[in-house]
Amino acid sequence: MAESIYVLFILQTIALSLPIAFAALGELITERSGVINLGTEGMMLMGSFAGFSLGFVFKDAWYGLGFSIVVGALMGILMGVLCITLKIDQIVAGLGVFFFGLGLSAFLYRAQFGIAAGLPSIRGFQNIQIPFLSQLPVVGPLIFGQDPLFYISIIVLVATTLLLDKTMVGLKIRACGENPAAADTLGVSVTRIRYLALIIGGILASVGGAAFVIETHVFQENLTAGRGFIAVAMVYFGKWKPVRTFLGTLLFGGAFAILPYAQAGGICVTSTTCIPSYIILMIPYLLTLVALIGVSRRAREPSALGAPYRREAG
Amino acid sequence: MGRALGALYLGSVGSTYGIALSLLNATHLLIISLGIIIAFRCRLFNVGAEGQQIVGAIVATAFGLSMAGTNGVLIAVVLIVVSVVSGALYGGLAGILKARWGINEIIVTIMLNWVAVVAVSFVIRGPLKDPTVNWPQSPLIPFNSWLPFLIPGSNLNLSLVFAFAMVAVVYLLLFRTPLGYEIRAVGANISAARANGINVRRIMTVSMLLSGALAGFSGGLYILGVIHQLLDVRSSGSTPPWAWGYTGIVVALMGRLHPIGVVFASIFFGALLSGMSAVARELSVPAPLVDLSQGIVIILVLVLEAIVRYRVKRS
Repeated sequence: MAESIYVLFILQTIALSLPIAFAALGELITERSGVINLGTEGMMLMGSFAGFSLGFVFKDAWYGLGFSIVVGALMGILMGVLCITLKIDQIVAGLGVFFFGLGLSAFLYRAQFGIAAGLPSIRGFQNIQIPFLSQLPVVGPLIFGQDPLFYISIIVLVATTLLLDKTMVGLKIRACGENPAAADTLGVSVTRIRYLALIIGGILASVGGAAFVIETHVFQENLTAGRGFIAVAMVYFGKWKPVRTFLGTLLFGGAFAILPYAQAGGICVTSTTCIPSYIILMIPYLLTLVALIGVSRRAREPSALGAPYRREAG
Repeated sequence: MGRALGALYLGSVGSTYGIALSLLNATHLLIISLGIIIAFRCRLFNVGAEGQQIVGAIVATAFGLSMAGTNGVLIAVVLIVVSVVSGALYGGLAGILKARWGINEIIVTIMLNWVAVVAVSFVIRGPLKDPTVNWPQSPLIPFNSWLPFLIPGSNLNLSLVFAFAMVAVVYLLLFRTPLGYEIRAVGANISAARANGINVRRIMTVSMLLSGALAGFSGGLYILGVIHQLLDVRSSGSTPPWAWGYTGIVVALMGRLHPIGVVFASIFFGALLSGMSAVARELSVPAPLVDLSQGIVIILVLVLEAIVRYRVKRS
């Protein structure tokens, strides 16, 4: 049985890393097109609300997940209008979208559910059990008997890699991130490509938020607690490479998976030395800082990241 | 609708209590947004006012509790100094990481906010816990150090005067000193600033230190003037200013990053916040109405600014 505890811990690690992984892959695509999207957290919160809202109404999380895709696309368009069409500084626009999502998600939740006596909750997904294979020890539950969100995340990871490296659209996205003027000269619409990247990024951030609420079953104000910003940090940590970014998020899943053990007075290394639970609660945030400091000297970001594209007059 | 408007009016500017609460809100919004201006003018996006306030409040409470029996004015002065210094160091940490290694200050300050939130719930259950109650909170700081109230029966206190004094200080700093010039130069064009011999790293660190100092000041003043003890972040009275780190940014942007502009913006938002919470009480609708309005206001401010800029450029 000792083994199954470790398997359970790994399962929790993966589950808790998925919301950040979706958002980080979305942020990665957006940043490769030259737009830094700090609205990710607000998009995740809107996705959480969307997932919870329809998941609750239809008593089926799949409806929630579907709704979060629509909401995410709209949030991506909002960010695009601000920082591409209106050419507002990307950082400022991102903060605006963050506040907007933070306020709107809290408000809509109250509007739909009021100050309910009980805490409304939704059901998560049933694990997919692949016949026979899911009965295998260890790899069975880890690979063949997982939450659908896990399989979706793997599909998104593969799709992101293929999109960026093997398709024409991906080439255009990277061109807009590295040298938008040159891309423009070759007939690529920088505006259209960046909008597209933001919509994809918005959808993935929103799906990440929905994944989080589907896993935790209850919504509360600001429930993602900084995960959207951790996702942005993970893109730096992963040096704008999908697989590295995805693996980085597992680290954070682990840091969050320890939390339930921390509630009960800390984790004891030996019978007398215990790590106080509050230190453990800080770990994900401190870990983000350490990760950023660790990669800061070696990272090379897309050349045009953060710069709004203006055609030279002439 | 009539009831809502009535509550909005009475809760913000239509009653002595409403005015006092609006001004108290404005006090803290003004102080933190002045700090945010200093950072933003240097193109450093300090989103960490919340964490810097909390750290200032924790350190102020710790000193206040250990100084019982001392002269009240002395305690108040010491508490203000330590809250300013600790807020400055917490903000400066993000400044150094940005200046040395180019690490995104937004992510760093957000992470530090969450660390501070956890820290406060730790100290009020651990080292600073009031042993006489079975509830996570610190004891009251010595009574003789409390800031005098300006309107009896309300929480409006001497902090308001400090806030307005800070307007002058920040104005002079930004527009009448070499340091302010260098901060604005770095923010306007970093490579030009570097070419002109400005030590960009030093200026970045200093502006984040100053930004954090003002936030820490606000945290310390909230302890000295309003709650007089450390409480859980979620239940620090009806107007916990550390819930407003983000509102401070909205105020700073609305005030066009100018010390005089934020005076008006913070009074407007201070009244909006107190009015909205009165509406929420009157109609038993929930408080996130305030969050919603500030989310919409910031988007509107950004869009309007962009449109104005566009039309100026065309004409």
